[in-house]
Amino acid sequence: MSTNSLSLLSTEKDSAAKYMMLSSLIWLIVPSLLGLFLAIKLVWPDFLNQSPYLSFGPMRTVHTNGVLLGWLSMVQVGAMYYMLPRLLNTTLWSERLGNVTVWMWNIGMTIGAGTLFMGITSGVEYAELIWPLDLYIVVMVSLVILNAFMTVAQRQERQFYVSVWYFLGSMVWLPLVYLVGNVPVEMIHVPGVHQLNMNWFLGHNILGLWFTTMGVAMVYYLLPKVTGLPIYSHKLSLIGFWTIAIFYVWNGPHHLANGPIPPWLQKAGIVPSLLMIIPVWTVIANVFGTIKNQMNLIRDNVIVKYLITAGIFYLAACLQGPFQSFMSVSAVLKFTHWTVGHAHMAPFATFTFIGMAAMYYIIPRLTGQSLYSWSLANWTYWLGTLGFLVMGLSLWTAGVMQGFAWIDGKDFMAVVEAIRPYMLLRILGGAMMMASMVVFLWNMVMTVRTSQAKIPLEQSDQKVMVQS
Amino acid sequence: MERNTTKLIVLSLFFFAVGFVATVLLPFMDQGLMRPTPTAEYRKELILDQPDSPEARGRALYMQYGCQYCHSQWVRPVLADERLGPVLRAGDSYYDAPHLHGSARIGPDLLWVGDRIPDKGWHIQHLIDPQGVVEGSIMPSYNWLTEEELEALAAYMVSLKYIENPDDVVDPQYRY
Repeated sequence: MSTNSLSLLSTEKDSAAKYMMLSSLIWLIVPSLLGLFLAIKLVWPDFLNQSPYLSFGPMRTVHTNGVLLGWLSMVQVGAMYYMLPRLLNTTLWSERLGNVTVWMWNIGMTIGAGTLFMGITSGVEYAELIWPLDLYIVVMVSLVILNAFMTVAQRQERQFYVSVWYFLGSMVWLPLVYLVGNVPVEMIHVPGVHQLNMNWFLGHNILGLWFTTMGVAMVYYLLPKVTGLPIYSHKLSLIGFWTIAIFYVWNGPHHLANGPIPPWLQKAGIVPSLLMIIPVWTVIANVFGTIKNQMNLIRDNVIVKYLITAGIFYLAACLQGPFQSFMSVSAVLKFTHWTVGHAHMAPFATFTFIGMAAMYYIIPRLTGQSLYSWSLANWTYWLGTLGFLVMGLSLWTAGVMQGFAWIDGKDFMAVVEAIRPYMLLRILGGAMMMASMVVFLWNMVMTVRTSQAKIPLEQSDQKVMVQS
Repeated sequence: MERNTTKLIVLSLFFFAVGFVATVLLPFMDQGLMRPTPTAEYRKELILDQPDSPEARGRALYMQYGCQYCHSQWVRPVLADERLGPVLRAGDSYYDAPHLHGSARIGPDLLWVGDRIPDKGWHIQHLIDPQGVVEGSIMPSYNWLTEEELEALAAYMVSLKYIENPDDVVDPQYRY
């Protein structure tokens, strides 16, 4: 790290990317720990229940908002600050402005977490922050967008690589999706069922038109860089981009399957959900096509292993999603723990993994030293992957049990009792995921510590990851 | 297009707008979604028109402590919901700002809990000591709420009841 790394608004090259990614770690660790606490509360309800601030509802909102608006959004924006200038053969338009957004993000998240802990909430799932904070976020995101588009404007490379498409699409869609979901209903009356619809327009599209598009952009950047292999098909990646742009935005109403909305609206949400298989297939085909002759890289290179695993879970999530959106399937699985398992798959096993892979690649390049330990990175991978599988499989099993038991007319408490073992397993899975993140944090902290002996950077990517 | 920022932005916005108009704006034209039911009118009188009523205060607490994350207020025309009372109509939550339909049933559905358990005392006791009232319950205790807050939440619970609606189809089509 250079000497002016302590200045509040650095103009040093890549400082915004570095600080955005490093400070996102706070929002990975703390809200995830709260998630683990929540899982414990579902078995032992009196755990940490001595004060209103630590009760289930407020803690859940800090967990979801923290990992989504904090960790995932920050690591993705940080990666964009690093990748976009390189793809366009220029520098970030304003490092200073980038660092302003780093501060705004961390301060905003701190205030947001504080208000949510105090129970100050809009009450809208995934849009709980109150409207003054929403305005703050709109201003902050506008600054990110300004920086991205000005960087595009001053580019030296005319041709847009596919990652640039995905980054710019995300920049266009995020503010719109956010505004629709956060209409302040206490001021502008929206009939309940329409607001429900808008709520899930946000709930779905923030994933599809923000986390997914940013994450895919990062994969398309990282995979060729790390492997030294060209992307299998440029055309395929563009088909993927436009099918996301055309179909994803329609998916909101499938969250209201069998709900108080007309059948035409349910079908308008369900049919495009099935078509989502096209964009996910293009990504998977491209990822596997790229490394098809060098599959050994999955074993030998931790970053490739992360990206491939993220791709597999992305495919799984996008097969599960259309399946669940069928009215007949939704009638069984909606409101059960199945949904909770599904809701963790893409944010954790896909986009958190991509975020971690990006940090393994970028942070050593920005600090000028190799990663502290690839062996620890491997531990992070296995704890995270196996932990998620334990949690996901126990939630999915519990969800199927709940769904069919309710149809059979079983007593509600008997079902709660029956799924208790799975809730215990879920805690175990969650604890492994948490351990994975702590190891990741340790690895990152040790990498940026200046006392580390410097190892030439070139070794850090290609370094073969095998047990000695 | 692979070099043109404007084209990329305009097309991205266009496809977004098509989906937005179809799935968010068009439903506003659907009269069936814009007609409040007697249940909605009843809740409007109790809560929206009297922001200081115990029911309104109770609803605010329900939101504040995130009850909706474990309790749905959403009965569907499906077999799993057959024993939960009348199916939710679009107009039932017409005046709700925000909606509290929820997305999970870690605890039971509360759409018509006022019909099922009209006794305020039960609700207060249950909030203070869930396991004492329902054996094996995984609901946390809310014994740190003040007496007035407990009263308000109980009043809100009891207000969640079905008001006869002449427009309702008597026998909804249960599917799946």
